[in-house]
Amino acid sequence: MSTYEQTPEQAAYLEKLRSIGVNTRGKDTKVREYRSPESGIVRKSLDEHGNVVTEHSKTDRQDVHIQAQPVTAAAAQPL
Amino acid sequence: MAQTVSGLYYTTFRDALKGSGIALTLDSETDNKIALFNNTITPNFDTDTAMGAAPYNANECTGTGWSAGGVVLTTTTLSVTSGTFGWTAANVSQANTTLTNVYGGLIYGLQATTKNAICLVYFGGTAYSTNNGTFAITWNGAGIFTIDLTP
Repeated sequence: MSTYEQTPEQAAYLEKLRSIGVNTRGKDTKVREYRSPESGIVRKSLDEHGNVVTEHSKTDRQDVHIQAQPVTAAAAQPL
Repeated sequence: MAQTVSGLYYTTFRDALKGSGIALTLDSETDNKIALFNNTITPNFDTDTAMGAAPYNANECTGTGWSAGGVVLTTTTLSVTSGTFGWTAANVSQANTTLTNVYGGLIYGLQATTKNAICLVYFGGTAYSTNNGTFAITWNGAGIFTIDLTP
């Protein structure tokens, strides 16, 4: 196999990547895509933690927005 | 070795409470920072002490737009609601960053010569990376950390 040949699995995976709305970040990730004059195709991925990764196809820019969960501590329950 | 959970650091709060020279200034506009780390560190909330001390002496995520040591937290606020003490700050938003494999942020104080570890905020287990983009953190409405004083 030459360097540029693909296995059937690789070809299928690349074809999935080329399609719209494919989830590349895990089964619980929700992906939304839209077009923007400035950014080209914008892909927003909301993952299971509530965090959002935004990819801009035209500029290759990628933003991350963390929705932090609070660090919580509690005193013990009284007897 | 990994980050798996958020937490408060016992050593810092113990020393602050027993008068060992640590005076946390959580309401300061300049004294509290957040630094980002990858998943190579393994926090120990019982024994870890400070930014710059193991395991926070390596594996910090830095890059364009995000310097070593991190960014200052501003608009810090201490409050209590129905017996729950909370601490929060303005949301973080740093434009034009290039960062790789961010898993969590260490919040630490600059009040002493040692940069006392206050809490670690775990982002959930995904490697987050920016490319010339904004790295933003929105704190929960309850606070960066809360302590329920009257459970």
